[in-house]
Amino acid sequence: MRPTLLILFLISFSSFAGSKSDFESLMQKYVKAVAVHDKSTLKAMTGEKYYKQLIKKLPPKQDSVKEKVIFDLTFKKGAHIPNTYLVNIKDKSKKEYSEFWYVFEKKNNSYKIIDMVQVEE
Amino acid sequence: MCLCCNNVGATNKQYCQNVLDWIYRDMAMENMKLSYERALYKMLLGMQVASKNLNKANHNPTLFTRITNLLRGINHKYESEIKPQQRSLIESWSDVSRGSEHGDQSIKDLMLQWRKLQKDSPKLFKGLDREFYLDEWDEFSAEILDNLKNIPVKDQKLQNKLKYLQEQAAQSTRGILAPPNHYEPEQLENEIDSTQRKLMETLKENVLGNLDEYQDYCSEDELALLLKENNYVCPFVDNASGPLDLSEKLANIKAVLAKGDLLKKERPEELIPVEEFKYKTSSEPNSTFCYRDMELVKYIVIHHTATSSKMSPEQLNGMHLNNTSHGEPWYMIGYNYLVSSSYDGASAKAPKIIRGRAENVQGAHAGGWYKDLNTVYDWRFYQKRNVRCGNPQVGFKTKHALSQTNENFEVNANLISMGIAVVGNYSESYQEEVDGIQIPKNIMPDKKDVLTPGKVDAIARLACDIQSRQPKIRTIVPHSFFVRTECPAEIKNFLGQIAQKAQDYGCNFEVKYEQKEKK
Repeated sequence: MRPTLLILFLISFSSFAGSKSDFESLMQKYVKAVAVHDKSTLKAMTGEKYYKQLIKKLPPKQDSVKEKVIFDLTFKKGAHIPNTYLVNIKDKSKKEYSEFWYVFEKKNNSYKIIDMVQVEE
Repeated sequence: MCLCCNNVGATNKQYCQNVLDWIYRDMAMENMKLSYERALYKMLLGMQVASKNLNKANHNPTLFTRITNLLRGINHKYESEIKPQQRSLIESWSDVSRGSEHGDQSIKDLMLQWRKLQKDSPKLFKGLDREFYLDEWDEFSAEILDNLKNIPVKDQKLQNKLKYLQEQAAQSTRGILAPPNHYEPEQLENEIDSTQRKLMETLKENVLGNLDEYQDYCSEDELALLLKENNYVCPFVDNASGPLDLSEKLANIKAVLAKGDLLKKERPEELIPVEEFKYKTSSEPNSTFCYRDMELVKYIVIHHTATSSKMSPEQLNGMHLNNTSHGEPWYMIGYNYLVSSSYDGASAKAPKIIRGRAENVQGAHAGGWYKDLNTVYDWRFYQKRNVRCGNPQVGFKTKHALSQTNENFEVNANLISMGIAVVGNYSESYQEEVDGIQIPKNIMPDKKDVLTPGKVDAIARLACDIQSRQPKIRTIVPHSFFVRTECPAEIKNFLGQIAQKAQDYGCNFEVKYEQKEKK
């Protein structure tokens, strides 16, 4: 990715508000970046600790990825830690979301995945 | 107004202690028949179990003779002295508690001996659930009744009360005291359950009525304190918000009483200490929790936290506080207990048990439904039971336990279970497929932990302590029993060992891994 595009991409990131379509868009980027091992995007999207763990556990790299990944998404605003959101996605064919949720933090008007937590109901 | 004139000059505490004694005397008298029946059934069941164990173990014949004689003594008392005369129980009780002229033991003595035997020879009663042991109520009510005639009563109101109680007791006991012959163990268990339930119902009515009546003489707060000091009910500790004020405490004690949890509790020594932790709680008005009737709780659910094993209770609490269910923030950590060995940085230390939510507070951990309501929990059981939900800010409202069932007659798993979480990660990270793309999950813990024998032992001890407080909890399940989840990952393979270990400590658990699908 060229630097100008990367900057535009990062700017577009930081202007998101915490709505469903915003998280859908963020997760689109995340899933695609995971598939093709786009480390610069992943680094930009995630906190330091999360990124460090993530790159150790990436799946086999794909050469390319489809334009739009289809998934269901759910999210809720964190009730205790300021400016956090719990987000989860699942394949359309699955009935239930997995117990592991992404924790997004809004900082300086941009969103980053900072943690993955097991959430019970 | 003077309640007991011979108490003039006594401190308020002593005065209130007398009031409390009277409340308990009332209860003992009004429930004599039930208490007595319950004790007989228990001894018969205990006798059956002891006989089997003796045969198996080719035990000391002297001991066998001793328990045979105990039972024979009970039957003899009934057949020869109580049944033929059909006297009021108050009279019968006085006679039997004195012992007969031929020098046999009184029933109270037999009860005391039986209780001692159960304490001294646990192997003899192996296989007998703790709830079927004679308990302190049996001994306590026998003692009260024994001493009834020696109580100096000068106050007219109390004289009238005593007369009334004696009449009530006499009326309630005629014709029914048959010790069951040729019962199958299951029938005996049912009889004990049934008398136990009736006893708790009437005790509940008695104590609530009495509390209302005696509040003219002794304030609620003083009674509440005495109840607590005397361990008549489980002292209520809200570890979420610290000690409650006295009026709230009495309300809670009343709630405990309303749940029928009044019998003086057998308090065996704990097998493992529980560390109290002061958790921060949610201050959101819509963040609520529910007090539950402990009769509803049947399962211990084992979890892993899927975090670093170094995570502290405070950090876990923060994680849970951040969560919401149906838009409502969680009130505090969702588990009832944590098992941890290294949160304070010393990984070689023996595992610690840290309290989460109090046992009588419904947890937030199981995340699923119990599907077998039609067979195991019938509707009548649920119809009689309530939960109280709310928070200290907005107060609590009573709801029907049935409100926690769904349209398929499934029960909220949190309502009927106690959650124990082992702090740590017992699962590998894994890939989840979304539209043909693999995405990694459970990536945050640095490593996978191994469940040490020390932790197996700690969980078994904790489970056993829980069972000694709540004998109806007899099943250990993994989190995945209630909902599709990896949790508790590899700990699932240790549940059998945990149950086995608990058996070494005198407890009985079965382990279940899957629910039967509903037909």
